[in-house]
Amino acid sequence: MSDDRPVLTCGTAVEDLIAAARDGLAPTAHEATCPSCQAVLGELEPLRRRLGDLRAEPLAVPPGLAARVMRRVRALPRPARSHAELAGPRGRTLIADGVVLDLAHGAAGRTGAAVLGAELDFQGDRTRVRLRVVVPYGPDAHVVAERVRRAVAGTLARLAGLDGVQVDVEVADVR
Amino acid sequence: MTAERARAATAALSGRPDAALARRARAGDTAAFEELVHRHELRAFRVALRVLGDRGAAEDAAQEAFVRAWRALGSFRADSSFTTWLYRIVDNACLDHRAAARPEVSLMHDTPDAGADPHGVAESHERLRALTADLLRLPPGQRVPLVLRELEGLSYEEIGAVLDVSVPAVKGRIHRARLSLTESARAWR
Repeated sequence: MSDDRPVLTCGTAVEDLIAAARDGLAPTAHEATCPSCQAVLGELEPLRRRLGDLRAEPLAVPPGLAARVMRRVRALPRPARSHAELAGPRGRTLIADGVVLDLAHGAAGRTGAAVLGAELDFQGDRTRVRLRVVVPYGPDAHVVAERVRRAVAGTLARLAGLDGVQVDVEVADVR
Repeated sequence: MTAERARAATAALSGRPDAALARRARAGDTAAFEELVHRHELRAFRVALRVLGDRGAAEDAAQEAFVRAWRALGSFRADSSFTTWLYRIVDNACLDHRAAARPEVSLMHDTPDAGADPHGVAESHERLRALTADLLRLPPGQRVPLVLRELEGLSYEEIGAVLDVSVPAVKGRIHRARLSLTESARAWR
């Protein structure tokens, strides 16, 4: 252990040896009998114990940390626009972006595509949703994308009253 | 909002995954962000404490990290883990804190009830102090990956993502950290 090469003379990588021991894996036949592996594990045993003690040390969050964070956060300027807006004869309805995105996520997920990310932006009265998805291997990707688009637009129209939402789908991966 | 409705709103948030809360927070929902802060504040504080070695400094860094996270939510990708993303921000906040303050290293630690067990507790407390001091003597480039691996339980891949370095580089740094710590650990055999 006097030099800092992470590989022992027997060819074993030291970090792999330690990681396996730490994760509680039984040593391989080689590790159990190899003198250099055994020497390294023996040498590092006290450190392993001390780190375990430190890991187990009870720590409490300083009181009021979250409250102080939130005071600072609330004092920051708000994003320019954070709501979809529906104008009606007797007033406006505002739907928070987060709600719109949650609905879009849910609708896309139910088509069998996995959603990696969703973004929302507004151009005048139009709402645009951009989705990055992973589609299952098999059917044509563009067919799945179209299904996602229809599901998301339909859900937003039905549940949020947002008509004519533009849904851009980026197929980021196939699994 | 009445107290009852506030409680109901909090309960509704508590079951949601991090990514969904981050999405809402990104759209300006402070309640969703507050839930994320509560979920991760211990983790952020703990890492900062291990990296900076001082409770006051760790609290400052953790607080600063969350405020930065709020501002940076636009750069959070839903396909990465919120935890990994936050670790990176905490690490940066710690680096900046060190650069700005650079006080003489103080080794404040939770002092357990000394009356409870005059000998055993004091001794184990002393051991933890010694290890904390040894950790602080490591260069930050080794200390942070070791803390993430051994105290936070991240995989090498996750640490690589947090620090933007390759997995072999992560392993090499942790290995060098272990060597230094083993040298200074001999007294504790």
